[in-house]
Amino acid sequence: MTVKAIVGVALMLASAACSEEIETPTSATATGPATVLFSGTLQPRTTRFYSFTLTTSGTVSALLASVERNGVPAANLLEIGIGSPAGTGCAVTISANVSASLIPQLRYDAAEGTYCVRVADTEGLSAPMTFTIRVIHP
Amino acid sequence: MMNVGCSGDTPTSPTDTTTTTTTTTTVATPVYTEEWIDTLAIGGERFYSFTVTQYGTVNVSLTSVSGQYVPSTVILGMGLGTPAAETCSATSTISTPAGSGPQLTGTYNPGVYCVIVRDLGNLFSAARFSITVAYP
Repeated sequence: MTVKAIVGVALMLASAACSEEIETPTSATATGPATVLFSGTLQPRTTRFYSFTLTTSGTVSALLASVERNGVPAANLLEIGIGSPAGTGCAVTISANVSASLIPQLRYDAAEGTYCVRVADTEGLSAPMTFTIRVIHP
Repeated sequence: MMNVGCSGDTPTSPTDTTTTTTTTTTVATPVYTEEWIDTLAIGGERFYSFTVTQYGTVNVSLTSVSGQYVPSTVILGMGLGTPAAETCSATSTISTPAGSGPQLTGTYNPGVYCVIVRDLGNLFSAARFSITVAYP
């Protein structure tokens, strides 16, 4: 028996031995929260909103992650709110005037369904601002 | 060998018992009507959200389209679906001119839904439109 043949037989035996040790993987379902990033440009005295759907009930949190003008961070206050899509807008249930932050600024206990997060300029921006809102939901 | 011990028993025929459970789901007719009047830009789209509170029929009618250089027979795209991100994700769509309608109808569970209207490339100027949404 040549060396190649011996190696081949050895590999076959090893493969057969290993094949008996393979276990069927069990499926795993990720149940962690989902994060939505809503970014855009907000014109002075306007609003924008973003809709998302909860398949399970739980706490929705939102924060104004950034506000920038021409790429430079700004300290402007914007109103962010959480509510339900209605008509041509988002009818907010809770809201707050906030500046950019890295901690949740709104928390809302919600049942399954469709919700929205809204950003609005209520202070009167002097120029358009780019923003990012982070929404974390079940 | 005889079956003496059991001979006095009168056998009874087995009876079949069938239980039928009937669940009746009532499809509610529309009880709320909203009229949405807005302006559609060239190449644009607009959407409108509403909340269905009970399982039933939703009717959507594009009742009128008007504007300078806008024929009342112009065909627009219209859809019915759910709000998603910054738009309305339509699950049912139609290309239609204005009419008495409804041009879109369906049966929906309770929840938030939306109707979207969009220019299919037929507009030469902004169009004023009216859409009626009737829902339970």
